[in-house]
Amino acid sequence: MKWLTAALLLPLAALLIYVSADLPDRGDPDAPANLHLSPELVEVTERDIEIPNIVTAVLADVRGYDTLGETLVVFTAGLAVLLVLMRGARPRDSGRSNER
Amino acid sequence: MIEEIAARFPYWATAALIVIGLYGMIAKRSLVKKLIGMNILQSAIILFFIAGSLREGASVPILFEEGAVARAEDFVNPLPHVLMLTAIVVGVAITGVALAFLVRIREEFGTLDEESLLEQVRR
Amino acid sequence: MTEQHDSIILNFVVRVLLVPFIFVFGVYVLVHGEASPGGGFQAGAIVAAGLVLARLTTGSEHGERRISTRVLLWLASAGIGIYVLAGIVPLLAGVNFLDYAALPVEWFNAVAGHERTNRAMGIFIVEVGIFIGVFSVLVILYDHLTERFTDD
Repeated sequence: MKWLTAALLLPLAALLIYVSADLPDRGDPDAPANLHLSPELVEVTERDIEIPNIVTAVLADVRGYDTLGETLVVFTAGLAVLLVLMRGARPRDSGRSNER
Repeated sequence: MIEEIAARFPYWATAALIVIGLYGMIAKRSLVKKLIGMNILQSAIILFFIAGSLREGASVPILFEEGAVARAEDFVNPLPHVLMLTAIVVGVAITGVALAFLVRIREEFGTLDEESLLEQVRR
Repeated sequence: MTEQHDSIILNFVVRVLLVPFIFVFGVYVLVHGEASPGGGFQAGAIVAAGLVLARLTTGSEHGERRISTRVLLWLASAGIGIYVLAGIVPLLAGVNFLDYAALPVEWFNAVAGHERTNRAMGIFIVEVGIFIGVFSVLVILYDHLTERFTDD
């Protein structure tokens, strides 16, 4: 299993490194991903929101709906842990007859 | 040669972390180690996005000077930072729920080993 | 992990020196989230880490927990409620969901004595909601993932 997995994953690593030759250089100012949205976000933050931290402005205002969903995800995770681990719901003696 | 390495280094680190994480998820028998592998895979994705947001000669995305006109070239791209903040928090939520399931599995079957779990389920 | 440690040094250092500092730093990260790196998620994680540290050193068998799961669940719901309220109030004013410009918070400028846009105020309100929600959920996760091993 170990050698089979390694034999499958090493070509994947080689493929990823080969593909990285086509990606933009690290810190390239003209990388396509950095050209389009970023100036608008800086401009909106400075003109309309007037707080220094661009990340906070984008997180809570421009993408506020997304962050609401994210907070709901965290809340749902808390609820799920409570439901899975609630004390009363534990069958005390069933299922652990084998080893313990 | 050095410049080539410096320009490609984040991508190579990402590839290494992806492969390490996938190896942990596939080859390890303990479910906890599979979960750790998943977290390593997630940090590979985070590293990739943060490395993609870099800009040569740019600063952190915080407008320091009052009144000065902000130019987008002075700041790294803020959008990947926002997205990765989301990804980190969701990753914490996923890890918590997964650990809860692991606790229940340990209680129910007395083991977290993949092989003996499969054996018990087949029986 | 669950028995009480009776070391007076550990108790003093953690509960008197360390945890209050962590709480204050968490609140600092929250209120400075719009001027420096920080925000609701980070502050929630920091304050939850402080509470978890206190629980690690005192042990859960050491009396009742000051903050029970029931209270934490109410707190988490209140955090989400603050966020949703900040979205619904602009909706009632006739603009889009989560459009903070329509929030009725102009009076706060007179109280605080400095000018801030409505959208900055809305961001702060939302960050407080996120902070309460993330903090309570992280503490809930810690409490319920560790308490199961007390009777094994």
